[in-house]
This record gives sequence, structure tokens and C-alpha cells, in this order.
Amino acid sequence: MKTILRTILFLTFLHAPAMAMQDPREKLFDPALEQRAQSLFHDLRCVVCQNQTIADSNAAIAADMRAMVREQLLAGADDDSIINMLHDRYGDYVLMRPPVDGRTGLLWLMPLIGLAGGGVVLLFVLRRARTQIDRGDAP
Amino acid sequence: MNIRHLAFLIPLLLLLALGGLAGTILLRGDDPSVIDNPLIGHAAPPMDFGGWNHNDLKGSVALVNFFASWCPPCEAEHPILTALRDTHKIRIFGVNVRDDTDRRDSFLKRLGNPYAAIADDPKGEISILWGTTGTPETFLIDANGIVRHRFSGPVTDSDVNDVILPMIRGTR
Repeated sequence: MKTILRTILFLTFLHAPAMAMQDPREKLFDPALEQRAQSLFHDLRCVVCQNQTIADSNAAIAADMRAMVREQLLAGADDDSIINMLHDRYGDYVLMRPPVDGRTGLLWLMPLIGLAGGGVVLLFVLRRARTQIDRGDAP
Repeated sequence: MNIRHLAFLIPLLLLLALGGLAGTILLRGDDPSVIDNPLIGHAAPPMDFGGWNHNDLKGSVALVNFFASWCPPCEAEHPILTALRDTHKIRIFGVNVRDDTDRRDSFLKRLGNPYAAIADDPKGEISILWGTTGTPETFLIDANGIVRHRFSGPVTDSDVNDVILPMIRGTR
């Protein structure tokens, strides 16, 4: 039973990259531009998917967005202006990496707050441990 | 009881606060798949893909309706759009999304054509320009060409009564 499950799991993951493939005919002729296009695709979120970049999605709108990004690159647009253009249309949702602003600040600061909180707790624990050693009631 | 012994409560309180925050956001009842449209409150995006352009929208309240012959919900909202055009003389500008002209024409022949003009969007460029995420999608534009509201999915009778008609009457 376990072996069968493992095999199924293995095959599922083996299959995943094939499902996520983009149509190779979309590719740009210039490899440098195509590379820029691919890196932009990974920063842009598919707007009809829950958590997929437009690089991985086969939704029609993701394909249209890829076409638009490539067209803009061919027209000589720089990466920021392409991202900004889509950001203007779809808001923060379209960005895989949310911008730091008043609304998302807490989200970005959370790891630091967690670290500081943990540090304070650690400090208290260590100090208490030391006083116990000083009093001589350590094991 | 030393106050320091209560320190273990801090993580617990933090957890409760976080849980409460997550809970209120989850229970607020928003549909997370509906993305806010940043166009609301701004002028309709300049566009010229044939059919009609942004200047045509000015003058009186108008609708911009993204539709396609392959889209059943578009068929469902079609009578509502037609009624709006007939009874309230509202101008409806269509965007035909990822469709082909023959299918579009037979769709309109079968159901009637409520559109003042139609712009074709075979490559989804107009859809991206307006930030749509699906079809149908409809935008309410005021007389100055400012986008006032977005309906994601088919326009319903309550959308008409609660949002579109009050705007035509100038109450909002």
C-alpha cells in the first residue's frame, strides 16, 4: 500500500513541470529579451489563480499577459514600466512580492517583531537560569 | 505571585490577538477572488482599438461591457442589458473578448444587439487595459467619463436597481 502511494506521489510530482509548461511558440526570438520576459513572468501573479505566477499558469488571461509583456519588451519598454502598467490595472494583487507600504508594513515587519519577541523571552529565561545557578539550586 | 511568572502569558496573548485578527478578516465575508479594480474613481483608460474609444464614453452615463459568444453568463445578462438600453436609453459599449467575428455576429443576431458600438479584443489587450479578470465584466461610467463601478460577473436586477438606475437619475 505504502509503495503504491509513494509511486503515485512520485509520478504526480514528476508530472507537475509538464502541466506548467508555456506554449513554446510564444517564445521571443532574442534569447536575452526572452530571459527578461521569463523573469518578469515570475514576478507577476495570475489574476484568476489563487497563487500562481503567469509563468506557470495556462489560464487564457495569463497567456494574454505574457503576450503583452513580450510585446512591450519588443517595443523597448523597461521592466519597471511593464510592472507598473500591470500594477495600475490590477493593483497589488498582480505582484508576487507585495510592496512595503502602510497596509503591508506589519506583514513585512512580522519576522523582525517575532525575532525581537523571541529574543526578549530568551533573555528572561537565560537571566533566570543564571540567578538559579548563582543561588546554587541548579542540578 | 511574581509578575514575572506571568511572562508565559505573552505568547498566548499574541497568539490570541493574531487569531482574532485572522478571524475577523476571514469572517468579514469578502470574496477574495474578486480583486479590487484600481480604475474606480479614475478616467476610463485611453484606448483606440477600433469600434469605439474613451472619448465616446463622455456625455451621459454609459456602460462598458466585456462579453463573448463563448460565455454563457454573458447570455444570461443579455436581456438585462437590452432592457437597460431600451427603457433607460443608456449607451452600452461592448468589448468582444477572445472571440471570432462570425460567432460574435451570430450571437448578436440570435439575442439582439444592445451595443452602441463594439471593440474587438482578440488578444485580450483591452481586457488587460481595463484590469478585467473574467468575462462578463461591466463598468459603469459617469457622464464625465469617470469609472464609478465594476460588476464582476453578470449584471443582475439588483445591480441595476441599486447602482445603475440611481446613477442615471443622478442620485449618486
